Amino acid sequence: MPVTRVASNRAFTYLESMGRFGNSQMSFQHPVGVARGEGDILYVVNASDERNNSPRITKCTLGHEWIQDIGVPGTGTGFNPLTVDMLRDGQFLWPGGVAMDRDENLFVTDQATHQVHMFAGDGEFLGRWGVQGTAEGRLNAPSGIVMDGDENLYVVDALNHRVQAFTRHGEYLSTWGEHGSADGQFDRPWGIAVDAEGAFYVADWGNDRVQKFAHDGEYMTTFGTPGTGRGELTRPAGVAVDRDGDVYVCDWGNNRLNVYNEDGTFLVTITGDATEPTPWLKLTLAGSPDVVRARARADMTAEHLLRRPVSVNVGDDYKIIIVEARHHRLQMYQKEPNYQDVRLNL
Amino acid sequence: MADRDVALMAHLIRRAGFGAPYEEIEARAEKGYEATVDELVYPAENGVAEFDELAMDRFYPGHEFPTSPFLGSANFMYHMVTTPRPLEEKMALFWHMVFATGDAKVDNITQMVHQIDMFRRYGMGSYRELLVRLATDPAMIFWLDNNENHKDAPNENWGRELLELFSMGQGNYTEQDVSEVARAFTGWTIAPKIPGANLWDFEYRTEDHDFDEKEFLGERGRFNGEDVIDIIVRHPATARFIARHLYNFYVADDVQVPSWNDVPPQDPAAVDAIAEVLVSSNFNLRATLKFLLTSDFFKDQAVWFSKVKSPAEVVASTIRLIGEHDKLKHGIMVLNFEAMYQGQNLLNPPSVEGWHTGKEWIDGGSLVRRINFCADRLSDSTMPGIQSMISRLRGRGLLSPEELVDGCLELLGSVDLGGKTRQELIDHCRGLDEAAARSGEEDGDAFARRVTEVLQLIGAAKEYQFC
Repeated sequence: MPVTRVASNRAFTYLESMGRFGNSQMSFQHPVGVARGEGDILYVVNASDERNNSPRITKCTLGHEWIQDIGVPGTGTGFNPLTVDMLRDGQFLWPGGVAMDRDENLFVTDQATHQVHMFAGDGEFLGRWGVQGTAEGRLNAPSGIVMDGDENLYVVDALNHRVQAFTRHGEYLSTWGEHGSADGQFDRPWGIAVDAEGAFYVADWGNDRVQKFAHDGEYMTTFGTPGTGRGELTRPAGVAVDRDGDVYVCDWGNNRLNVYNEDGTFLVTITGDATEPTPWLKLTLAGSPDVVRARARADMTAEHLLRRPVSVNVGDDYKIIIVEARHHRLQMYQKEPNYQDVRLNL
Repeated sequence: MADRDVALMAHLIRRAGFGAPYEEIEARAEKGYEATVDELVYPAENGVAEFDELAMDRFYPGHEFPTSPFLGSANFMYHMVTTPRPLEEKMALFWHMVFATGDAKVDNITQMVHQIDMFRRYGMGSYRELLVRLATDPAMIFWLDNNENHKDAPNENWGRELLELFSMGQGNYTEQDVSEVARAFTGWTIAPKIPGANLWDFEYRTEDHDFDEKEFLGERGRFNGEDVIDIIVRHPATARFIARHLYNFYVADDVQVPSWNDVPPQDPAAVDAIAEVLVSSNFNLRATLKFLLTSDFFKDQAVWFSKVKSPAEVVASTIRLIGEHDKLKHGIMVLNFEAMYQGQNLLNPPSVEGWHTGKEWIDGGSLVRRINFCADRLSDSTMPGIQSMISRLRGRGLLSPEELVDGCLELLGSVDLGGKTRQELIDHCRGLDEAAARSGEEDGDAFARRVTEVLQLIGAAKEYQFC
């Protein structure tokens, strides 16, 4: 039974979920970002963890078909974890976000190397740039990243509490923001999105809000206030804007997705509806009848809900893809923009 | 600020926490001993922030709901290394070592992490409440088989260890008492679960509980689990047992717990005094800790550097001292590996009896590992804590070998190296001075190298293994 939430002539319907925990191939591991390629191609960036040592990009389709893993698998082992010093070209360690250009080249931030690592859509390593530091143009734990219409990159420089603009080749362009809680200031910001007019939306993680900026970095407005109530935010992580200007915020600390209209008016909350195991998880369960029986006895409600939604992608087709780090999966929804409630004459 | 005040503060922070850089010790000494104890015991009331769990979850994925036992252990170690509330964390370690529970059997590391968090949150509150929480803790229930303790088929494992290791100690109860405790806790179990995954829930099944009359420690009634805990807490042996544990952990190494019936405490008056406060405060651990940390027997210089650091303390105190994780840094699992290699695999004690402590931490292999770790970290001049020490010593001008060695000992937390080892270090420094004079080498780097060499040698000394 599809689950639909309706607000202000919009409907948000749960479609399905995708993923399972694993180190390679048909699995994700603490995914932190997703980019949509041509057709139904997805690039899912996995942070992995220290024990599993497999930060990578999973290239797959919306139809649950695994295509390839991008990023050289870690050379470390569980007892000798991968470190910055051990990285070879094509490896990244601590990804925070992903952006994609028109040619389907990928730009992945790495909070450990303080760099942006570049890959072609076929997995070829294209280079990396960035230097750790606090001066303009230097980076300190870069996390969210987005590309604007001019193909410049805007990097959320999380521990320098600012946003920095670079060309796609890493040439420094500009900076805005500083540490603090006033308008235009940040506390360890995370995700970033750009709308059709070129305005930016930054998830100001430590300040429990999303801030909107004009293309030149001038502060415009704020979405959300700290808290757990309707429309409030606790440690927002990812943000996206759809073609109508609706803003989607991963309310990471409250384990939900909040949707606002372009004015910042709260519309609806999505808390997760994955009542069915994903197709990939079903493959695992097929070989584990004991686990299937245990799942039938246990209260599985927690597994159905979003847990640590990190980032969100909304395509021109209004498909909403929520990246859920804790459950190593994507939950997918469909927006209907001009939805009219069926009037039942009962 | 008198040197004695700073040295006493260093002693307090080593024992009631995991050590600190000299600047923090100095600032705390300036603030005052009593005020610092108050802040350690009542951090919330003194406005000390909690550990930022959400930041850990953001930057270290996989540690909130670990996908591996090692990530769970690293979670605990990272708390010790970075917590702004060191006594709270030290009590979590204390209870982990007393209420020893192991993931080797529980096989649910997330549940283990939650047990440690329970110790963190309630470990300085009421001991009686803590026992009730322990009895309903899913990891403990599974660890000691209380999920197999049924009305018609009692399992005595939890009941026995509750009396023997968690409250009273051997010799203060009978085998019949053990059976009665087991009956009182029938039906205290875990809700249906998925093996090794997700969090488990405590469940009380009335249909599986034995409601019949029981006789326990001379009292009769239709006791349930909480009634039994009330009786345990009222028994004089419990206060003495917990007091001896606190003395052993915070004041001076004692013999191992199985010998406590045969070997009296080394300071019976101190243990009795702690026990009296436990009783008079209705087993309020904050009040008890405040008494202990301000007592003459705790401040007595004779007990300084008399305890062998546990591996967790070796790692956490050294990393805090050098500031390796003052700023966000990738790689925290290696810290836990280090403690494991030194003999303490956090969240996986060797048995329900916990780790044997004191001199038993040390064997040939673990000592080499300890020395290598300490010497390596203390000689890393890229670490902010080491750079600070070099800078402070450089600011004192031209230093004699004695001044250099004593300065390093002071900045490491007023370490007492003992006359012979100190003299050997001084002689070594004098040799370095003479060699430098012959070669004409004397630049800033040479001074930094000399400091780190002295720090390295101190880290390699046996005295550095004591706290």
